[in-house]
Amino acid sequence: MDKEIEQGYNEILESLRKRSLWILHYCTGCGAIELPPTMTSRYDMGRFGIVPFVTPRQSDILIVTGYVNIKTLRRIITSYEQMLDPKYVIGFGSCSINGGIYWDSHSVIKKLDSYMPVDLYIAGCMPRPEAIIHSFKHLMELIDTGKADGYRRYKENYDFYRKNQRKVLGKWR
Amino acid sequence: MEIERLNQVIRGTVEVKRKQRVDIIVDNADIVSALHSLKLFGFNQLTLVTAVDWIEEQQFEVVYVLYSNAQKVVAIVKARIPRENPEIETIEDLYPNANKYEVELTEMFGIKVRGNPDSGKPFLLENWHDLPPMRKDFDSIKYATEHYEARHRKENND
Ligand code: SF4
Repeated sequence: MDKEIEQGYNEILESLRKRSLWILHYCTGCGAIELPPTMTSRYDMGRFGIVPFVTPRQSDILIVTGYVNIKTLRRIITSYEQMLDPKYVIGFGSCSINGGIYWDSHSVIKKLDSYMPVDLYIAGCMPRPEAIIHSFKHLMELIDTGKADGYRRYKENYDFYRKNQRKVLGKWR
Repeated sequence: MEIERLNQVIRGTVEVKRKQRVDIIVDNADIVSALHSLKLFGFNQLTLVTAVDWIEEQQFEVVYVLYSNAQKVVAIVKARIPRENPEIETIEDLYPNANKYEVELTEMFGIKVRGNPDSGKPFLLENWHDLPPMRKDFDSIKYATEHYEARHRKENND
């Protein structure tokens, strides 16, 4: 009986959560230029309860907008770890998927999900606002069905992520 | 235009390329004095300091881009320095914004800047133990393949 109540409680929570997602307004790469049109009146992501926010502690989504170099990686990992559960990561643009046009760069990592848990990738260089809105709707579905569990995976596989982070960042903490 | 008079105050070759652009080629030792004269001439803005690696000639070319707001002229000062133990003098006291450009020169090309207290400190690269990455003999693809894990297509298909 208790289990059922807990499950029902979780379901209600998840469906409430998906209606109020706040983005950490932190831009890493050039793809971030597609976010302002998405936020403002033309595409208006506020319709879905998604708004940008300035501090990690109050945000739910970390959007990694494009290429991540070593210097940025250190900062986004810190920001990500400061965010409170539940938190979701969206990899945005082909650079975060496989390095994109920076595949041969001396400072850009090529596979974001080895360093932090990514719930969802948007392909494209850069993705259009329609694709971003679509990804948000998809993320809501994932949250609703309990599949957006990146923050749990991060805790469970912390050693794996930490090992990969150490490999490129050196000993940093 | 007074630009023609530059010849008289700068030791080096002054070439007026177009109405709004002069190229000035100087020796390593004359960089600071040339920039000093240019500043007195009204070139009040330092737009860029960078370098070019001429590996076949075993030389670096240090490039300073200046702009004069009053005369609307771009001046490009170039100096060739040897590739072995490259060293230049700082121009921080003439143009304070040169500081970061010079830090970048040291980091990206390995050109030491005498008199700049920040030269040699890590700035853009963190945890770097290789050749300066903008040198032509640095193999970027090799470095990227060795250090950063790539995504293989296979694992995506399942
Ligand atoms: S995917 Fe394209 S738009 Fe996005 S960061 Fe990379 S190069 Fe820039």
